[in-house]
Amino acid sequence: MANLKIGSHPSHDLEVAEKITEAKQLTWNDSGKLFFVEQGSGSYVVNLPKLSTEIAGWQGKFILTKLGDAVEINGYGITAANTPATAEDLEKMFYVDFTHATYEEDNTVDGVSFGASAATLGCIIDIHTDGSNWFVMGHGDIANDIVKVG
Amino acid sequence: MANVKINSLPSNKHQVVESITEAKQLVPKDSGKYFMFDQGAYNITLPKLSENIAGWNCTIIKRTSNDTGDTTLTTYSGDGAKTFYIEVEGNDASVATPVTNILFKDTNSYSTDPHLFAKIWTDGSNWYTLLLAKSSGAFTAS
Repeated sequence: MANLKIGSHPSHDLEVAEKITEAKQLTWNDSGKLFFVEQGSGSYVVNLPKLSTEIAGWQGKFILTKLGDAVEINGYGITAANTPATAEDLEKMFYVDFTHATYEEDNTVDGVSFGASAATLGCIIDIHTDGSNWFVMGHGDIANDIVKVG
Repeated sequence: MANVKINSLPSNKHQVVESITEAKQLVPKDSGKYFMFDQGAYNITLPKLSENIAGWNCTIIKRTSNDTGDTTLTTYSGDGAKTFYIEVEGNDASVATPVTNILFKDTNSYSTDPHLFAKIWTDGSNWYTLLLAKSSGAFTAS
């Protein structure tokens, strides 16, 4: 198959900064935003847009700015790992996480989280899609900062 | 507290690259630039923190290495210790407490890594920095 363009998606190019403090459904027009994420008392889920060829190129950057309970960033419709089992975007995430001493990878996860035992403000999660899967890279300091979901 | 938009800040969208060879004060309109600097004993100073610059970001790359002194990435005068950082190069430095200065070490005191990368973002209240190098000790903080 030849090389080909698979998408041309509008992006905010990091010109828009938003704070996330509670559950949120992201949409196609959130691409390119810079999200500052606060953990709180009680975990919550941020859901990515539904995968489709129309959102190829969608991207987002998430930075942890307050410690607390876990914040999961999951595929569309996924409220927790493998839940509900009928969610179409289950196991659609390729995940790589680097810390100063370790790295972890997995190619069939449901999401990624700033973990319940995260200890490092400034942890970063970058997310991109080709429309079929999510490609995620995390940077933390300890293994518990960023944790795969599912 | 609800999810909220903090700010909308124009960016150079990583289409502009600038050279730094001496002390420099970065300003709000520098958001989205690449800065390539030559090692030297001088400061690169971040803009003054405020909600009006939430979303400000840049990439700083050390392009030449020598023993003429550490180059310091520092917060604006009066902002104090507002920089959280993560190092990906094997250094077990604490990042629990924000710092004022991040030093790109010179070859005399440590770093022979030819190129160091720093990516920087702010929510207007603090700086969040990702530091990338080959070897431990390429950066220090104070």
